[in-house]
Amino acid sequence: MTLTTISVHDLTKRYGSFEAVSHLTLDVEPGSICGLLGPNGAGKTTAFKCILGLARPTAGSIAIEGAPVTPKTFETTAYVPERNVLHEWMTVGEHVELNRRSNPKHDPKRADELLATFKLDRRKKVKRLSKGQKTALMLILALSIRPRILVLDEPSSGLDPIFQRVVLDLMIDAAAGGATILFSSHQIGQVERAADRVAILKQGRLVLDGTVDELKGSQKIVEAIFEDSVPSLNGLAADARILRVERVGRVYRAYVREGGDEIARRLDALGPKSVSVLDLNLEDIFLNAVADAKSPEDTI
Amino acid sequence: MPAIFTVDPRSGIPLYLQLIEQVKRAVALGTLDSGEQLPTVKALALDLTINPNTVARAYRDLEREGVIETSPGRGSFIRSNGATGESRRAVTDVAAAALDDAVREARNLGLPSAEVETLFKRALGRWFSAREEA
Amino acid sequence: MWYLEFLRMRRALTVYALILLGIALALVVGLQLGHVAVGNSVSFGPGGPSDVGFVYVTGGHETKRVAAKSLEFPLVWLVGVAGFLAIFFTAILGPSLNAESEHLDYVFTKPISRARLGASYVLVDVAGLLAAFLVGLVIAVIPLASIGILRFLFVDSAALPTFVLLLGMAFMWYGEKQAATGWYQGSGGKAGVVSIVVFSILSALAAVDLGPSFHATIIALNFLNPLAYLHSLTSQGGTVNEHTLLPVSMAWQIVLTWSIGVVCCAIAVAGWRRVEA
Repeated sequence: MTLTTISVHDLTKRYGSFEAVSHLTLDVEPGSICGLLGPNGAGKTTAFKCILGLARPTAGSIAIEGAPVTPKTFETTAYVPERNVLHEWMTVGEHVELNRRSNPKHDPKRADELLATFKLDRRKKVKRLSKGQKTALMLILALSIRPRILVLDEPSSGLDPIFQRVVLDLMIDAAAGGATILFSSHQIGQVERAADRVAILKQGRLVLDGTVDELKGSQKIVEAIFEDSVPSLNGLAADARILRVERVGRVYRAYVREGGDEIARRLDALGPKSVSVLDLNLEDIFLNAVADAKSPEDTI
Repeated sequence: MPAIFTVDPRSGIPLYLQLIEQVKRAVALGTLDSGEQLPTVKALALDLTINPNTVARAYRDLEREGVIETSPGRGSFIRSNGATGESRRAVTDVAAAALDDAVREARNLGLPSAEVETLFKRALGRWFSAREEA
Repeated sequence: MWYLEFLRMRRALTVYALILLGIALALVVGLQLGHVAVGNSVSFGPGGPSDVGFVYVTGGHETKRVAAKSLEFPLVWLVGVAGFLAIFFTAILGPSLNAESEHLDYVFTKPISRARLGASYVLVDVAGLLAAFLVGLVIAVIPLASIGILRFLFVDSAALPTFVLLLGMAFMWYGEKQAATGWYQGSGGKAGVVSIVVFSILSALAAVDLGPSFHATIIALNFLNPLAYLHSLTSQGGTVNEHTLLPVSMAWQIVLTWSIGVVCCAIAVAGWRRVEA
């Protein structure tokens, strides 16, 4: 039996009366890439901090490879935080040297390769680097220990599209080499490509969790176009499988979690001009997950 | 080496299914011959910039369907013995899916089935006679 | 991770040394131009052996014949100057644990225990304080050497205990700042100015007469005030008297400064390792 790489059980983190993370349970399996999505302030960064022992959970438990987080964990676990944590007055080379001295797993050759990939000059002071270059340097430091576990908070913020792709390639390269990656991103396209698993947070709560393929395979839009007005739908929208509905004139759209074909048949029975079942991409799925609950007027 | 497959991550169709279809199409079109080696999971994942597990899953499914065979340490290959039968089935799969989409769309536009049939025959005539003239 | 603190300390010491060097060189130039009245040359007299024990001191346009004995000065004076500079360096130095506030995400995700990490910072910093002291000592010698007075320096018995006490004061000041700022995030840079103000007020209050209990309280509080351990020297009828605010011997003062420093550093590290990033 293989150990779950990152196991979060019923994690709650409160700051005063504000609940940043609420009863989060999440398991990241070895070798997978898990993308954490959520609007700003959804608790992604707080969740990462709790996972890595940077913040103390108010309740719940965390295990990395089956054990609590200790300094030893970080020999093989690397973290790229969202904010810039580099020392402005230090040079790129000094940061690499610091990394070498603080981690026995640091691989100088790998660091050199990565510096070349991102075209970073060792002699340059961090304060002379652009925001994207700072992000790149943090990634270089993280990847040069060839981590088995990689936690990345917004790993491509500030990077241009070319380097965003480089970051994606590096993640895929690491995953293909057996690394487990947990990352957050606002770029759904990135998650869609790299992640095999997504977890969506909203106001500290996990609202959706599954493999990207499962989510895409199960979530559908059932679109019905009626002759004149949309008829009474006999409480169809109250069906738990329907996440939300949209009405635009004579068009009725139901976003369904599963059972799209069955909902389509039920709509078909109401005699529309046409009914079709459409696929959703991850962005639609994400927006549905974080959209406000179904409004009462929809539950006809 | 340019990518031999292309996938659209923004599509609602799961990536591994897109990949499976791509491989089958390549087999059907003869782009991939029987016995020909497929890129490794890692190489293809990097090539397409998609999750390696997605590629691995597609390869697993393709193997189960008998389209490819994987020998540990050597890589994945287009299956030689069943390749013709498989590619025929693969062609049918791909074509059937496309036709299904087209017919559904026509119905959604409100066409009666007789009219769809007429359209289908017209398309059939156009493409097959064009092929023969060429 | 001591490397990080080493870099930071090296940077602070470089700035410190350059400033001191600038002042020392300005003094040298001033002395050479003869504008400073101390005298611009010291030489043995021309009168041969009979002149031994006397030197000519030139200051401005005058030259005087002075007893060599009167020019002798003890090492403790230099130690005092260097120690004062080292304490000033400590006072303005940002507390290193708090300085990591913005970088905890980075330093706390390394395979090194936080206690060890904090301890390594403290050790590097203490080495840095010692270095600042020595740098001050070396640089203070430059202007003296330039006027040839250095040969009248003699090593006195007070030099070593004074050195240990002054370094202890610097360490104590350092420890208190670390303890006060280590457990929270940010704004530690202000601790330098705040500590100078607080300690000065505390010293000043000792002179305020508001009854014996107030005085006793202030004296008790002053045990935590590094400035209270400063000795003022007054010369009365040829004997030098030391005055200190605290009613304990110098040996005890040494023990107290170093002990308070150690305890404060331990408190600082203990608080720091619990800071949430």
